[in-house]
Amino acid sequence: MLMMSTSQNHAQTQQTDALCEHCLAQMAQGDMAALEKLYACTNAAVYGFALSILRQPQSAEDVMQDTYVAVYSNAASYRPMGKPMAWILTIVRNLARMRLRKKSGTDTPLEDSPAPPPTAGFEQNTLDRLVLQAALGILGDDERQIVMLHSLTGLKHREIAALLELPLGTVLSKYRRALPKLQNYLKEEA
Amino acid sequence: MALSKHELQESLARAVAAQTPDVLPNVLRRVGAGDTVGVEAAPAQPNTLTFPLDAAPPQKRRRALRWVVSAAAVLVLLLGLYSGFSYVNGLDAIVSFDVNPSIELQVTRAEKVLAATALNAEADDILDGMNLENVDLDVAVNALIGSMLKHGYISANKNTILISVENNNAQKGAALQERLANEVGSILNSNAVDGAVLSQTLADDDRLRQLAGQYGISLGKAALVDLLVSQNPQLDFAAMAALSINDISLLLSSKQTALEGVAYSGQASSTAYIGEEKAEAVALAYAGVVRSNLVSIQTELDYEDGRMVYEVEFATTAAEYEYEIDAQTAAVLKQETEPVEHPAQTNDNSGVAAGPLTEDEAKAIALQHAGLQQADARFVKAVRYQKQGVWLYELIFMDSHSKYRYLVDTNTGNILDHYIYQLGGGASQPAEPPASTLPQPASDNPPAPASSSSTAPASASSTPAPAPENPAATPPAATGTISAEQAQAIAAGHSSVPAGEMRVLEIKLEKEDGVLVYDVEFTYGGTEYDYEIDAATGAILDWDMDEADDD
Repeated sequence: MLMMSTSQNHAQTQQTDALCEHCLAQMAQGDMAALEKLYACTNAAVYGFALSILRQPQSAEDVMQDTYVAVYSNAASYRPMGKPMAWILTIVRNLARMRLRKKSGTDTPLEDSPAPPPTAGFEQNTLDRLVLQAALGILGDDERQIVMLHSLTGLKHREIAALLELPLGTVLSKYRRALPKLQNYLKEEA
Repeated sequence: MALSKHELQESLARAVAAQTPDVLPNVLRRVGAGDTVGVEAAPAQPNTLTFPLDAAPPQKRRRALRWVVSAAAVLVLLLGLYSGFSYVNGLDAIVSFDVNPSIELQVTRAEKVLAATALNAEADDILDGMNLENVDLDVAVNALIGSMLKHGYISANKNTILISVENNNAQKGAALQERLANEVGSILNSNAVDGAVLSQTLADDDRLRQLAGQYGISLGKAALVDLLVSQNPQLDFAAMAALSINDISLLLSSKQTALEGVAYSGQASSTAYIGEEKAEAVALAYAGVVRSNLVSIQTELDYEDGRMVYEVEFATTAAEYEYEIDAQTAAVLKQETEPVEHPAQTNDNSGVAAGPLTEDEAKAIALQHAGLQQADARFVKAVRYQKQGVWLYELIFMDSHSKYRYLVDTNTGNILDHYIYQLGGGASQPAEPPASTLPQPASDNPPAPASSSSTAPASASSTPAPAPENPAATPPAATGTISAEQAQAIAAGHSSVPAGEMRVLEIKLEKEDGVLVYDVEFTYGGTEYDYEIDAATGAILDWDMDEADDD
């Protein structure tokens, strides 16, 4: 499962990228086992990013499913450039945004949908869930997507900027503003 | 509840991971049924995603078209990030600062900061809470260096900083480089740090860009590490990329690496380490050798198994010693002793006599062979020592394009080995086969004694060196190691298989237990041979033969 927070090192990102690239090459030959491997090391990032755009677990789940089908059917068109994660997340972004358009005719997340219901497993740590709810509830669209990408993927700020089609400076300043916002909110909640 | 930023993100990652649904069975079912999702890659532009237009109702066509356009824009942005400057209005230069924190500033023509990027975790520390957007470059540099000093990344022990400027206009880049180097130098001075500043102007380079991305370092640091590793192939890029610029700088200077294109002021601090002199003293004391008995001694800073070490090599008339001393603790990490062989015709009871060749004569032979004039070459090393019963001069010199290493027999003036390394990122040039090689101790044939009758140095022209038939077939020898061809020849000699008739499966240079070895594998007459040859000495460390696999 891909959970590369900032504490995890670049070597790990590199390994994941290498593995994904290898899987994509095999998927291009019709290897479904490679799809399973790719899924295993990217699913949290794919779901988390979709959720950060859509804010609705069900929609995020649908996009997640479509993403893997799209990745599999387009694996042959992937050109190995060492950035498979960015490619996969671009698909997530496009499918999620398409879905937003279809539903609301705009790029904004699905109405002011409430934070996701606690559908997660009963053992999920309450604090973790609270943090996720806060991220989905109080952060602006860009802030939410940036923080989620930073927490869940090995992408660097400049890659996040490219993915979200934002200037690098904007990504950096939003990232720096978002975390204290979350910290303060959680402090007050406590 | 006070969570740090780091804990916050970990918590978020855990929450998402716990909540991620398992859609794999559905995905596999859909894929198995031949379901596709309409995402197509435009063949002309790799990894550009376009979405099908046919599903969109007429009024949405324009929107769908926007997707194509915006996907293309993403590509342009992605490519732009990696290959140039013109895509962002006003971006004129990228300036990176590496100490161990690596920070990149995007700078406009008006020298305002467009964005500051932390390239590693240490740099996150430095940039934390700092908003440099639209700030004058000078002010930003002051703030960054100030923060590095405050956080202890620059100190008396670690005083070296690398400044790299990327600008499409090389002249402008060089001017900015010089100005920033001076400015950083004076900031360090005003903070009572006797700093060292390395600076360079870079053009974009895909290979280096990829390495930089791979190791989470700046393009500038990648270029510097590349310089070090390409001239000292025993060093590992990944390990070097993790070192501070101070340590890299110490290694560069200890290994006399040619710093092409890098300006240098001040001296990297070595106060964190014991120093060459103490390392030598420790090794000599451990070996029980007094300095006055030494024939030669050579000490070099190196990096082995995750730590900085001094490699101390010395010889007396009786033995050759190789020590590895921990550069921080002075602990003896490795020691090897090898008795010096004494050929029968020794006419001197102190050991083998050195030949009559003077250092200047040896240099002249090497220069003539290299086709260089004395004035064009800068000698960085000229030592005389005995190796496997032969007295030789080891000469290392450089001109503006290449680094040369020659071993010249002090008796005959023959060139025993030579190696030319092309500087400036070009491919290494394999050494031409030497006219005569060092006698190999592990060979079945005893080493030929140095000719005692030949007193006059042979002229360099008498040591013709035919060009290699297939230079790409074997990797070039690293400075200080034997070449792959020599390793093959040693294996051939030992196995009595003619080198021309063996089918070489693999000749590879690798590190085993900290020792560089050639692994030479070949087949001949239904037998497979596997040799492990010490790349420094040519000694056969291990060998094996087996029935060859049928293929």
